[in-house]
Amino acid sequence: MVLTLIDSDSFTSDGNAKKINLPAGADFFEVLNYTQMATTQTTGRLVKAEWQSGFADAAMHAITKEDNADTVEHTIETSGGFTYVTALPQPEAAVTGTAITAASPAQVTAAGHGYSNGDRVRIYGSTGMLQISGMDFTISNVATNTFELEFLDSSGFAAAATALSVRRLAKEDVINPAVRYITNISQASQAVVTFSVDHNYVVGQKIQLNVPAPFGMVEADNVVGKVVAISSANNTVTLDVDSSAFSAFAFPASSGYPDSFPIASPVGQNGVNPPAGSPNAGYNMAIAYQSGSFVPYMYLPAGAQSPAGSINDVIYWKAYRSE
Amino acid sequence: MTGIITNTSMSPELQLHYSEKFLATPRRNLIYSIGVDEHDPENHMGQNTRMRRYERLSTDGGELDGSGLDPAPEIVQFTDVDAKMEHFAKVLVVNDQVTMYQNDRVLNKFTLLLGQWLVEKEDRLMKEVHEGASSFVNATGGLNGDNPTEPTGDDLDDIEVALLGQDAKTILDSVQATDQFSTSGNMDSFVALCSTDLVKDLRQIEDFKVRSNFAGDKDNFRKEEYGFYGRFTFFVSSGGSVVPNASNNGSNVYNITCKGMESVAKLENNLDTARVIYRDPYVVSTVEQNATLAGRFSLARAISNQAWIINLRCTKSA
Repeated sequence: MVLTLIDSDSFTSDGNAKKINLPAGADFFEVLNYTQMATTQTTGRLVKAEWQSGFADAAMHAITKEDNADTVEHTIETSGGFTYVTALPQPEAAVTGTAITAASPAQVTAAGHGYSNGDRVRIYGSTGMLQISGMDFTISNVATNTFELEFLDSSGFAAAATALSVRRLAKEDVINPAVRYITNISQASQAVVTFSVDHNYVVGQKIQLNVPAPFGMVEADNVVGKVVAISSANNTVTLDVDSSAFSAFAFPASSGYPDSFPIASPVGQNGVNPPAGSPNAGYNMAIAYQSGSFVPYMYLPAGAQSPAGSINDVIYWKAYRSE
Repeated sequence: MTGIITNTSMSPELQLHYSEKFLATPRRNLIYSIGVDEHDPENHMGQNTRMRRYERLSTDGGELDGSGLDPAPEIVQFTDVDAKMEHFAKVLVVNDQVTMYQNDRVLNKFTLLLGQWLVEKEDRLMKEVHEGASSFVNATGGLNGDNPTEPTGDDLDDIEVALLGQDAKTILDSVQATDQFSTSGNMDSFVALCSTDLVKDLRQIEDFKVRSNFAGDKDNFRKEEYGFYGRFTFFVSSGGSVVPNASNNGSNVYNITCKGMESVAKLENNLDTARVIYRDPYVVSTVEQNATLAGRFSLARAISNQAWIINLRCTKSA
């Protein structure tokens, strides 16, 4: 067997864990903490780490500086090391929460959740705010014990939640474009639709709205509209659907969960025949159905004794595969 | 007594003898290409395939009033659905030690395994488009106290109404009743696809009919076909769609995909599908150690009409 170097690169640590995409697979992976290796009199610092196919998740062969003479020690660590993620991760273990505020955006309290900004989570088993129980959300403004459901305005909800469970999900979809939960639809000549999770829709795309009766805007149920504008900051799309005379969109009462959630699902794209200008005017080839954005990756935790290092450490990495 | 050869002192080759046949490899039901609309994009036609659906013309107006003026022309509306051709492969490396002892049988078996991988991978890819890109509703008629509940006839009736209201067409022909005890005919039906985890709940639906109660020759029905209710024929697989921990109680949620004709498209590049590739040992190793077997195929998929496919999301009763 021959080990072939399939990829190598470097990065400067920002103090956070790092994901390195390895779509073609790897049998051997190593990192060199260039900064710490070049620094003397720094004890207990990981300077090099290796992973080999067959290692348990989070394990590594660690090479650590032990004294100010730069003596190194080789150890096998069973935590804080590499994890090679080859398939879309399943939901993580549940974290118990104690509150969801009725506010804009809604804030969740879940002690020691360990999540990061931009993560996708699933809320369920809530007490007192049943109308969102089972929905997925993108989170922001993460603190040690709290985070916000970035695109949920729950200020009009009748009650706050007093208990809940939450699980972190994979950020990637299995297929694109994908279905999304809706958290609001405006009443306007061009309806603005807000989604609970970062959407991947583009201008020119058509989406179908499904709005169950408990959410008020029944006129929008089964309506198909074309996306005419997008706001990434607000996670919205603007549709060529006049909803100004529709009933108001509103979450049902907090005391019972709704039959179903309002959703948007991709339909395709359209224009008027013939399209203006060139044959492809008004079309976006990126809309084509295709596999989701998941790519197999090596996960490197951050920290003085972990492969992604501490902030401002320069890390070099190499990935090998056997032939 | 020394000098006698026993089963513990034989040479290794004689101690272990393989039975003449390999045991069966587990194989799941493949259901997610049932009822899909298959296309064959031409070779060298680029990465994306575009399917176009024209909308019906308006039936308003159109009366010729004798003035000699034609009705106003109508601008034809349409929807384009694009699907990207993607390529998938699996590689097996076989060392010459295997070749020396079991060459033909192992290579034949590995070729079969690659074939199985191909169809199971294709089934998984088709499942992903069914579960991730199509609309869904929750089952609410059950009594298990979760949201969604276990599936009920009332939930399936609602989906039938929704599909018929959107002019979805049934996929399967009716089964005519015959003079066979305890059997009855089936209406022409939509297709319903789901996990084998749900069969207990399906059988608890009032008026659900298992395949053994279908009229006619049972050999005419597919092994994946489990039963019939209302306007749906159910096909089940252990690889059916499951969304982990998505119910209000944190239980797994199952998708029962209910669909009509031409709701999902599968596109196979006609010159790059289902290829098995054998690479001679010398290519890999200087001393000709390792041969390579590989399978590859190309596939594109899409929801071609969102109005004609609905996932009924449900949980198990217990």
